[in-house]
Amino acid sequence: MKWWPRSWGQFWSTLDGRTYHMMLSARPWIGWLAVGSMVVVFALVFWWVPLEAIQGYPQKIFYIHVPSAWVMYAAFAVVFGASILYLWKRSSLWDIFARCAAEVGFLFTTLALATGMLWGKPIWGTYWTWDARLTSTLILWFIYGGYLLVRAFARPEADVARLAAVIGIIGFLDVPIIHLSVLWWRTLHPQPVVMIVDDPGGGLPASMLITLLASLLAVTLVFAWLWIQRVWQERTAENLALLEVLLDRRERGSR
Amino acid sequence: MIWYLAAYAMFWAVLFGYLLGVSTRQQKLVERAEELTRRLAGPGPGSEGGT
Repeated sequence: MKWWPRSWGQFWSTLDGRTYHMMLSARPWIGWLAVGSMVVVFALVFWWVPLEAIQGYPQKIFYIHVPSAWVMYAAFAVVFGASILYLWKRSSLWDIFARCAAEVGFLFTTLALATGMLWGKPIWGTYWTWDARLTSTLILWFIYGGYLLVRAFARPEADVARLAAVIGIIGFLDVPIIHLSVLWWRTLHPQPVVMIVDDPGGGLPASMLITLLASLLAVTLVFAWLWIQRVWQERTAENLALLEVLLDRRERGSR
Repeated sequence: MIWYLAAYAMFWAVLFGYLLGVSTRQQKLVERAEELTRRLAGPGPGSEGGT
């Protein structure tokens, strides 16, 4: 297969296959980098980064809460992009990309909510409050929970893929709302400390910023590996199902 | 400190639980592939009486 397509038409028609092969060749590297960076992050969190003066230990939950929320954004951006490409190209690979990203994204949304609750209890005195950031994240959790339920139980498969792609696209509209909710409404949730327009990263001391950036990288690599692994499994299952149909046909023909 | 340790323990328990699910699915795929490979290697149509 030639790497460079000869035209834009060829580029779009073969993009799914190219992306898939690129992902498979990167998978072992991503896996080992994810393990290595996670070890580094844990050393940084447990032994290196200083305790925050006011919050103390609960502040360290920040180093898994923020990366989980970031991966949640990234995963649903993948669902959004892959769903658009599925509706356009109707290639089953785009559908698999979206489905697997939604599954792993749902996992990290759950982790973002749960780690936030475990931080909220000692700091706010409650696990949950109907704050704009928390509520919009919970809505996202329900949207993608619904997406996964549709995928698991509704039939026929082609209609489900189309319906799920529409949910994936519309559901993504909640992501910018979540991100901007702390600016649009008066909320209990802390304001951004890294993505500040006038002073990026300026809301944190250097040691905390380094630990956070390392953790963002590590959790993103974990997400990427899990996503690629699930895509490979779904693609392989699809190929095996096809092989089974061919074998059934061959065996019926030989009787 | 208990909330901090609980959050990290929960984070890892959920991630490992999911990883275990992925690994079980992988095992099932391998078993299915082996079964289909055996069927593929078996006699096809018109092979009766062949060597």
